[in-house]
Amino acid sequence: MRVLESPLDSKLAERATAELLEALGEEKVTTRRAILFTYSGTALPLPKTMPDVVVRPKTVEDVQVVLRIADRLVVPVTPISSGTLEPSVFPRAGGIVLDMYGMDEIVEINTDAAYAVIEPGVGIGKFVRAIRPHGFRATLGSYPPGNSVLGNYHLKGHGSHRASGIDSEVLGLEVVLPDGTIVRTGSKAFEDRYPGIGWHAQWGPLPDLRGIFLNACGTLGIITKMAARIYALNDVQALPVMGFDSYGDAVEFMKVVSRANLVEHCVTWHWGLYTIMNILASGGNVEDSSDYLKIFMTEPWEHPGDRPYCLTLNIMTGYEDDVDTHTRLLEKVAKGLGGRPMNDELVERFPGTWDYFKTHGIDHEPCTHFMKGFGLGYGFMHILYAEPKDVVPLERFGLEFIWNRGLQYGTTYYSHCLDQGRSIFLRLTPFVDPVDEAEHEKALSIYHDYIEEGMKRYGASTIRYDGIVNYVDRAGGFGELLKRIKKAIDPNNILNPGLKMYEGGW
Amino acid sequence: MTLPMEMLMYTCPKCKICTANLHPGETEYLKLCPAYTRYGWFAYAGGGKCYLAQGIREGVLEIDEDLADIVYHCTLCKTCVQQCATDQDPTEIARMVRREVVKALGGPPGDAKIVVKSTLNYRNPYQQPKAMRFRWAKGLGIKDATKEKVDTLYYVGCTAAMIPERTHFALNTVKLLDAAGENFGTLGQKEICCGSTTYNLGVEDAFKEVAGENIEMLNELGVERVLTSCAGCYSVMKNEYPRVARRNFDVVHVTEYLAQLLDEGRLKPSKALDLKVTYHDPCHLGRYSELYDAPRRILEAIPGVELVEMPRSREKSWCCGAGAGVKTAFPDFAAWVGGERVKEAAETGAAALVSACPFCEGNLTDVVAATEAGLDVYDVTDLLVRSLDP
Repeated sequence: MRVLESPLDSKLAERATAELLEALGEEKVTTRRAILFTYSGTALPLPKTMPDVVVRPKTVEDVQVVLRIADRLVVPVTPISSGTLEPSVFPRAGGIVLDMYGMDEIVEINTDAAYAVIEPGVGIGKFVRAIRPHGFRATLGSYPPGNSVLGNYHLKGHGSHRASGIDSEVLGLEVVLPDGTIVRTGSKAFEDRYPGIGWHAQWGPLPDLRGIFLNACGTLGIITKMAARIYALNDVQALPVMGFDSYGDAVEFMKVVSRANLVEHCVTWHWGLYTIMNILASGGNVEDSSDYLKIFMTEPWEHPGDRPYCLTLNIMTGYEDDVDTHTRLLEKVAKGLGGRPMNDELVERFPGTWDYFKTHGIDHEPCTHFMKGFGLGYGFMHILYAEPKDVVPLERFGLEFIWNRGLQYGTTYYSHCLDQGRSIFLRLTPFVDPVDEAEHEKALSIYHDYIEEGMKRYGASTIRYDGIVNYVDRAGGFGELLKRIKKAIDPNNILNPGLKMYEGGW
Repeated sequence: MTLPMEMLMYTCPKCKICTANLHPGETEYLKLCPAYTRYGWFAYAGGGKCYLAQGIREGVLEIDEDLADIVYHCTLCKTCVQQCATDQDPTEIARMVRREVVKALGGPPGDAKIVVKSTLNYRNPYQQPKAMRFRWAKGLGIKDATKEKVDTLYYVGCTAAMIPERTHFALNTVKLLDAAGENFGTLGQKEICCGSTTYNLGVEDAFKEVAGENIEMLNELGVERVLTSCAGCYSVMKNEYPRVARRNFDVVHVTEYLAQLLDEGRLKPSKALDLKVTYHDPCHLGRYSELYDAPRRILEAIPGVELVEMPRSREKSWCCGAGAGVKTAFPDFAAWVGGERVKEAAETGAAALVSACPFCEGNLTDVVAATEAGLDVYDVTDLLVRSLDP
């Protein structure tokens, strides 16, 4: 994999390092090359760049110190929490990497108002273990349990446990600006004058500035705390699964049942993905499996014949009577759309898949079942959102588009119903050999072409900013405003400039 | 450089599951990786070692003293392997990088070089003359297995044989085998190092030399069962010797065999000890060899012993801090890791911290002495012997 040296002037880097060392000491500041290398990029097979220095802050005051030095000297700062699979946190401009994983306190678990305040280094596994004894669960995505909750929620990670009417798990943020100013959003903005105030309201009497820091990848401030929604573990947890013979039927089903408030959340899995999960979660070796071959030898838009084309998982919690009634209604809606209940069949025919679904959707545990699949290389984030009428043709288009471009491995997907079906999330998942650079290049090119075509043809919207495509200049007045905000907050452009969010490609 | 595990080293998603117990079903968050917990930089975590290997492979990282310092600040406790959900083996990758360090820099860092030299010159890591090896047994009349046929060969190991504070392992074992009426013997002065330390330090040639010598000697004697006191000897003989040469004998840890003798009624502990203890799983018995129950069965068989578990036990045990050359090369780090363990043991309310490895016992005893933790440190055999005494 290509690894670039830091483009920063070495004298400037040395000066910044000297000041950081003097202010924070060797325990928190390092220039050791072997350590720097491990922060040169995320786990995605994308080109990496060496930073000049890595700082591991323990407190918000440490972050203030770093930013004031960096701002005065005009040295880039790239924040990384878990640094796993997001393309947004490469230190492409060199300079300072802030390893936020060292700030790992769960500051508050507010069981009365159902939120928790956490620092960036709190992984989802640690988080769910901390809130469960209080009778709460967290929104979970299908990501490893060590991953930063803040990193995921801040990037609008679409976990599988949200209430379907809620579009963000973030109630409030604490952010440090380049000049060291500490910003708290929502009700907490008034903390200095009214010390008793909590994080319960995401809006106050002023405009909601929370949003400018979400999905901003550290370009507008360094997030040091997040108040996240947590959800009660009600009396009963249930996960009715319905099988459908087309994605279109599944989308219609998700729209109907979420708008009728029958489920907390629903998500659809393509047959390729639930079949792979059965192999992985059963402890099998995917490459020895005939099912595995079938997945990658069959055109993914074709019906597999012996199993539903897709499964829709319906996450439900509540009182037993309600859950029973809602389950019956779900079955009725599914049957009306040509679907069928699948739980018994799953347990019998796809026990690994069911174990994963159960762990995730009933036990509300972050899962590791899928992680063996990383041996196939990483899935790029082919994520698009589209309206229900558009997402159905987009699915077929995407599967054909990627298949026809000839990647070594096949493609599959999952799809969330968001905000009661106003927008449908579709994440296609091609896998790429982790050591085949030519395949990476091809995958990256396919990725960008697919996103572009999806937006153009199907009115879809993407979510990940990856530093390659300039979305700001495509966003009209919104983009202009964003640039002005960036200039006002970060006039020296020290915050994650390598992402080039405001300046075009790299 | 050609790295045989190149596919695997690229599958780490940096999820840091190698550093803590994050699998589904766990109820309490526990930090498990000593080096990452102490230093915090990802390079020190199991996953970080995979990235270092990538950097070396790609020519971005040179193998220098600094890289060696990171790679050898690892006890190879294997917790990362136990936790990893991607079928990754960061411990083997760390060992592989160590082998590259040895090739590039001529040996492991610091005083660990002395250990290697001593193993090659004296056939023990402690620079002790051959004559010292059997001094512990003076006057005991132990059979010489090189001269007469025995059912069980007791392979004492360098630490229990040559470090005066650890010879109680050997003395206890002899007492217990005698009490059970076992026909056993030792190699006496002919015993040589098992090679565990050189193996873990990445000095492959030295390891193969002593391992090969041991295998040849033990095969020639025709012994069926080799009993070891040391978890390191046990693990390397059991798990690594077969790739050096064909091994015609079984390797059994003392605790395994004593548990069997208890089951057979050949040992009958009777004296109540009235002692609350907690058990420390040595990495090389536990994660390396999956031997968790036998030591506990022994403790449970001793009247008056109450066993309480630490939160980090069995597969999730926290390392003692001594292994893989760390105590020799980085004594401060070894003391910190051991200190964390002793704190955890003290928090259980136990009066004694019991283990089943002379290497673990050595570091934990040093830490207890330095911190005045108010705990006694024992080997499992210490308690069993006391319980058998009239």
